[in-house]
Amino acid sequence: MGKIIGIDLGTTNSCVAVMEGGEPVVIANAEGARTTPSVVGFQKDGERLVGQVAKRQAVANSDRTVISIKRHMGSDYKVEIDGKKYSPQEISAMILSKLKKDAESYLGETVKDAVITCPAYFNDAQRQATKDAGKIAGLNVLRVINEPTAAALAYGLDKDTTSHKVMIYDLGGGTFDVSILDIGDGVFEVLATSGNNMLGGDDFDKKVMDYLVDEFRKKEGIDLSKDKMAMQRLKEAAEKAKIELSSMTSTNVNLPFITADATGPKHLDETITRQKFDALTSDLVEMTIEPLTKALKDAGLSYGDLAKVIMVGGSTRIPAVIERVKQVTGKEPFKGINPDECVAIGAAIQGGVLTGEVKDVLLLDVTPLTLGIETLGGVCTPLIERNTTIPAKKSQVFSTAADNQPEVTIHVLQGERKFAKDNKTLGQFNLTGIAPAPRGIPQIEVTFDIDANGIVHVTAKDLGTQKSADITITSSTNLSEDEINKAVKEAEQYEEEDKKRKEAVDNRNALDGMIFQMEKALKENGDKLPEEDKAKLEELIKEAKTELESNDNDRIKAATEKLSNEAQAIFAKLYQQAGGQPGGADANADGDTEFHQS
Amino acid sequence: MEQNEQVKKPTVKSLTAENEVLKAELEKAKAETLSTKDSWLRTAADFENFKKRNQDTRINAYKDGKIDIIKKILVVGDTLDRALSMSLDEKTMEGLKMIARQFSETLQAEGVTEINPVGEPFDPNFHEAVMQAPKGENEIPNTVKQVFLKGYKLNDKVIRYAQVVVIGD
Repeated sequence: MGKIIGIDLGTTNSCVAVMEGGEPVVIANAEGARTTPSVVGFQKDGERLVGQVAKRQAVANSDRTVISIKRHMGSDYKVEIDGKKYSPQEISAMILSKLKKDAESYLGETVKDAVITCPAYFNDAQRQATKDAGKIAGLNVLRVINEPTAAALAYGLDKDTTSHKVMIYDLGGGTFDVSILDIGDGVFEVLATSGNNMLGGDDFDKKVMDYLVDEFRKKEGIDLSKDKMAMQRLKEAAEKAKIELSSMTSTNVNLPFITADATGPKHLDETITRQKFDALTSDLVEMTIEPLTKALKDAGLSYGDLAKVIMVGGSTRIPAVIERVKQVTGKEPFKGINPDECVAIGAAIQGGVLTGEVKDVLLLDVTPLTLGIETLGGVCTPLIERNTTIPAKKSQVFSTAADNQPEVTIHVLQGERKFAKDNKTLGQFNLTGIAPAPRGIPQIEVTFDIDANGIVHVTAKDLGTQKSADITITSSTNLSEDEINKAVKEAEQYEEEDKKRKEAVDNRNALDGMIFQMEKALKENGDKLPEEDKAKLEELIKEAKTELESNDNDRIKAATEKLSNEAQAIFAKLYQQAGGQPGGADANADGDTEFHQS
Repeated sequence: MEQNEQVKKPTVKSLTAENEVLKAELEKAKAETLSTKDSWLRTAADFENFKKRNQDTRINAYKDGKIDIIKKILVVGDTLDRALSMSLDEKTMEGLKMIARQFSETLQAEGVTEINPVGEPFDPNFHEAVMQAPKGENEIPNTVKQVFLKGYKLNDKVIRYAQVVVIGD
């Protein structure tokens, strides 16, 4: 079965979405926008334009441009263009065709099936017309679902099994709808609807524009409404101000050289606070409250009966709208999903339910906690970080911590803490038979492999001898939510302390490694050194060893520095004699890549 | 002897029955493998496509970011044009013209070009009609009479449509 697209066929704007990997995705149109104006324009040469481009030519070609056709769905209304009559279904089909094409170019495959939304108050004829429009566009319309139902689906409200009442408040670009739904066990019942089909975001812009014109008249005595060019600039500035006031408490409308009179150029510079905006538009917000009360009354409910309130439509971004709805209903409105895309997303989810994609979502698990092994100094070295999506596999090469170490112990750990002892032991095993070699030489590859069921398989392999040992741990993901949270919280709590301790261990490992390197160098090249240098070096090593036992981080750090500087000076002489580069005393042992001796 | 007591001698009948069971099991396993392979291929393909799209997304995100910034700066140019259309004293005018030139040169260096279609046929692919003017004498219908706001292209992509007054029929 191919993909099913979900379409919000709106009065002013339309939107299309699809399920992808179990998630709804809004499809951008060919022009890159996520919503498409529901506008169709006919050019004189017969060319048909749909969407943004049709909207741009609407003013210059008004008799051949169709807007808000949705208002006529299901009626006998016909649009006549150049002597040809079009039904609302045919016009809607042109919009649907464009959305279908955009979806196809995004998906790279032909789209046949769709779920289309319509207002809850649409009657059978209007729903049939919506279905027919899809058919004309070459779409097999599997379902026509209610817009509020789609919005509820987008918010996952179908998952609650107990019956509850939900209000959907939809304030779009040009229409306002309110619906009361009864949702229970995946069944949606529309209890009541109400609204105002001549109220929307544009009215809010108009209020701001009127205010700016008034203020300018008061200050400059000039009526900007007579100046079409100035009004065009004002219109855009007003919309911008409205949008900015949704996230800021104040905005500045700055339009220099807006006009001129005999005294010279005039500038418009007006600051609008959110408070001012709210006052200007409060009557519009109030106009939405009456239908709300009416719908509730029709449903035979009171505000207390509502379990949830969902906000849909671009204008519900206005803080005053949210605030007022909250005040009236006593409920914190649900938001979070883009209110312009919410309905299309819900339609796509319905499509996903029909293909079985939603039910059959491949739930990819993650590892709840970090998995790692113990290394030199009791440090927990992570191999697979927490929240890694499984199945996953990772390898890292480690080495021995002592000369001729015959075996290593792989101590498998789970947890977020820096030290092995603070984390949970999942298992332990030995890899034996490592060929005699100085520390740091053997290469032991440790591989963590977690399958889709969370079963961890740990292998240690001596890359020299190809010998390997392994362990399988089946209980790594059997953790309760509480256990996971506790582990993460604890790690945060002890982060600073653990970091200090880890640093101390790292420093200790560094000095230990350096002493080892020095002793080795002394054994190999000691005879080439003058007696006094040799004696000095032996003394330095002895001193460093004492310091190492002190377990005092500062002393260890100081000793490392001293040994490094003085010994290097001695060895440098040796290499200068030989004409080579100093480097034999490079003793930056990396504590992380060595096992502790078992 | 002992063995014969424990293991029944297979008969043709019992072998045929066993064969049937095994065949059925094999068929079931084959079908399962096919469906698993199918869903695996689908997932792999979905992922491939996702990667491809994501690659475009990154490139587009860079372009979109650039366009966003340019679009915001264009407003300054609009104001300059507006100022230049007014009667100001000569010195101020000269200075403003120099700023306007600096502005358009900067944009050009970034690959941004103007759309200023006075007298050209109206084309909604580049223009946005904000008004229609009645046709005057010697005027051609559906051509641009006046440009309220210049449009701009970044390379070939329109980043702002020119707002124009179109001559009616």
